[in-house]
Amino acid sequence: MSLAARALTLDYGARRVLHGMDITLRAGEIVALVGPNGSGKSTFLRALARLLRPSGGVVELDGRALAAWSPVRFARRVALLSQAHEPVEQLSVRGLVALGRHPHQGFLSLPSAADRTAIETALEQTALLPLAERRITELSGGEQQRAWFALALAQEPAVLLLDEPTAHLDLAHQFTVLELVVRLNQLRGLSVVMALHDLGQAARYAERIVILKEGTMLAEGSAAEVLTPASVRAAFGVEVEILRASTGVLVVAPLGRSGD
Amino acid sequence: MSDAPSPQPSPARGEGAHSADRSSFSPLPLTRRLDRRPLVLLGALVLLGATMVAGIALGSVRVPLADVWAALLGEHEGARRFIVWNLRLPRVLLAALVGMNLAVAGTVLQAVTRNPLADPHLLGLSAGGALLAVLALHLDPATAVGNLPPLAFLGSLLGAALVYLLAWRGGVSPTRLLLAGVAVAALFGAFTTGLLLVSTLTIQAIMSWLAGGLYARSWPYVRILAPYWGVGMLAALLLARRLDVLALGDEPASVLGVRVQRLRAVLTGLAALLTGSAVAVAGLIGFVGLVVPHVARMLVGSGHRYALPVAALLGGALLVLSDLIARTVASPRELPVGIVTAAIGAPFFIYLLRRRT
Amino acid sequence: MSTWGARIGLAGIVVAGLLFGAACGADSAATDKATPAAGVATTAAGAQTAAAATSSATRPAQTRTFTDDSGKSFTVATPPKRVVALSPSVVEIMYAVGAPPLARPSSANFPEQAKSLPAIGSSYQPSFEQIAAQTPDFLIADAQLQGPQTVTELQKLGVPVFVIRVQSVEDVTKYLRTVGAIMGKTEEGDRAAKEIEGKIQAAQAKLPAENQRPRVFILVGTADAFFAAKPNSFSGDVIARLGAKNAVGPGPDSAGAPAGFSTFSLEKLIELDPDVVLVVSVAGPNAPPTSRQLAGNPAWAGLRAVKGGRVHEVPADELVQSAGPRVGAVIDQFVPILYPNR
Repeated sequence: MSLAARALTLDYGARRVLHGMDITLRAGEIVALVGPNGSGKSTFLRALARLLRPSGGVVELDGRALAAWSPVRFARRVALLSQAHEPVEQLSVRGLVALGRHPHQGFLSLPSAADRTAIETALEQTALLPLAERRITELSGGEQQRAWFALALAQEPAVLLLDEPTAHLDLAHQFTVLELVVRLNQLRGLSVVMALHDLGQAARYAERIVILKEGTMLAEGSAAEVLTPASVRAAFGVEVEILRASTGVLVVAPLGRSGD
Repeated sequence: MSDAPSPQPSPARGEGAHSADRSSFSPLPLTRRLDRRPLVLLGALVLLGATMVAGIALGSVRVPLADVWAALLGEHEGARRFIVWNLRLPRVLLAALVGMNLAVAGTVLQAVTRNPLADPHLLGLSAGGALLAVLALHLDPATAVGNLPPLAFLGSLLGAALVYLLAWRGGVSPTRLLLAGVAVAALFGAFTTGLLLVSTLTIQAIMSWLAGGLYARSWPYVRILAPYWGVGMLAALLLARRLDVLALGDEPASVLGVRVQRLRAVLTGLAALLTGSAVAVAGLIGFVGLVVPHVARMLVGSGHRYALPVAALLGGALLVLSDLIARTVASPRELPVGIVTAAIGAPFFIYLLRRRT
Repeated sequence: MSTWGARIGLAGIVVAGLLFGAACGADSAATDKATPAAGVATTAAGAQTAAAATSSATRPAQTRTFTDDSGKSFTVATPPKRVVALSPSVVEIMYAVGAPPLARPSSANFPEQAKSLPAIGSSYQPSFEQIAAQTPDFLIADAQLQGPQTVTELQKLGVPVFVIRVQSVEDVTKYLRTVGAIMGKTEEGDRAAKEIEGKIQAAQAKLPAENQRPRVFILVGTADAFFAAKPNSFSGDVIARLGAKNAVGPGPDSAGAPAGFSTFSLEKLIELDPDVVLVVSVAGPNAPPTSRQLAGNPAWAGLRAVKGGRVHEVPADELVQSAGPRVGAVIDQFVPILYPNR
């Protein structure tokens, strides 16, 4: 499995949002995208997910350009979890998660054993089994987000793209989700690209970090290489001190705005 | 096939970081709740059967039940057999088919436009069908009744195509579809009215057709509608899961491998097929396509695998019952069936609404 | 998920299929007639024939052939005994020839005896069930009230459907004779027709010179919205036969108006300024007559006919709702109105 962007450029009308991004995701990698709002993280993820067509350059999955993939086959390999979702009325949690099996199901919709297993597993991994029969509208924002996450997991993709997966979750569940990502990565070799706004989480959970600013890659590499006060200042305009916790994990402590 | 780029998504609704996860406070069912949807489906089937039986047994002429049964079995000559076989049975059957068509069309359209107020009339589908049928009758008053359904279907398709054309901008979004539909419905409605004014057709002939009803509908109409009904129902059931996926939103649906634009076009065409054929044989009957989908979803949720068949059965039952009332309450006169569907449907709908909220 | 839903769905489809199969087979079985037709046969496309061949062989050669308004031929050996009338005009014609119908539309209430007949729905939407329950052997329909589609459906009852049209005085006399003959009351039909023709001839014999014949406007409706009856309407024909000139000429029917009528405004009427205005009030017996409502309008008072006292209320029933044999009485009423000096 490989997912690669080469010289990826994307315009919204006259405005250029992504300027020639080059990145290759190798099988079994976890990559974090960080950067200020408007830096293009979501756009980049949606381009990787085949939702936006590149204005220049190309995105390739397993060596083939995305346009060459049929939508269904692509959906079997790549899943995307967005930040926001339209309200879904009258659907139960299990009903929602079951839709994640769509790319694997033919025309006649009787669910197979594999489908049932995937759904149950996804519900279990996201701690949603107790809520499985409840209607989505009855859940809190965080629970709903977990349900959508379970949907993406039920897809059983090879690549998981996550757009701010920890938004709206309380601290405990943020850990749950991120630990789950790591576990799936280790167990199933799931490759992950996730946009995060918490630099510390990026440092802790990702093997590689990409810093984006205004549609350009400022830096790319391991946490130690990339998370320096200089790069944070350049990307965010914020002064930070980089500390190392007793566990060896990098901690980013904000000091103040640059130029204050 | 990608959509037009859209701006950064706004944050999801729901609580902020302060509220705790509610699951720790709410009662947890220890076992899976009994899935009562199959029961509702069975109940709807029984309801349709019961209304059809009532429709055959009752009418403006008293036919004793024993005679009804005998007539159905093929015995009896004479007026009673004629009434049961040639007047009531085809009419009841037609009411069931038309009701099913309209309810399914409404369900599909509400899913496609993601708007609970969508119904076949709102989107210009029935207006297109009515316009073409009126045009045909205007040009040739002796147009055989058998030619009206394909004409109305064609008119529905033309209406749908025009709606698409108006709504197209790199693709069709649900909102643009709805707005364009309203515009086309108004436009076609104006054309139809104008045509009626300059036409030398007797007002009676057209108005009674347009007003919607099953008066004087017998076997030929059933035979005409049946194939459209069959194809439409089958297609709708096969596409049920795709409807669920589409209802998640254009982006999530694309992510799940659905060709959104193509599916939307196919579903609109399906709704046109169902609506056009229904309008051709029974004129414009409102309310069924708007309200029955809501009732169905209230009973079995949004999953279309259940919502579609339940809506179909309830729509059929509603129209059969309404037609029965329309032709018996003021006997020997007949009420317009659209009034009865509204009179039955609205209070029931309000009741369900208050129960759930 | 649940397979119960799938099973029930399948069961439903199977039941529907069985019902369908039975139903579609039913159509061919059910096209036999509802009631035996008493020795009446119809020819021309789409008609259903009775066993007239055998009956005409055994009966004397009283078999006559009649043509209805749609051009279809009907061969009648013996007069039908159970006839359902589908419009007030038909009811009145049948009573006038002494052969009352079996049932009537609910709006038919003349003559008095007709009110006791069973009603089979309105003229616009006759109830097929009620008609079938009467087991008729003959139906007489009215072309102005039942369109071709309705007639086609009526024919499915398996009995002949004879369509008449009463749009002129000649239609009345023609169908008095025709219906009379069909019902075996040839003499009575002829007599009733001759009575009307006699009145017409008598009136025409005493017509004054061309330039002394009145210009007449026939106003039908209420004070807010009225129509003018054109020459091709029934009332227009009556005054034409009586030598009067219609202030409104022939022309295409205007938007929203029934056949033979034109929408009209008060301004246009004032522009025409006819000699005589005949007012047909349709607002019902409890509402004030239209002429009185119009009298409140000062523009109305300027009409020559109003000033000359030549505005007359004329009966809606006989002229609009139920054109038929009562036209004799209408002629008697009209002659002194149109020619007061004789």
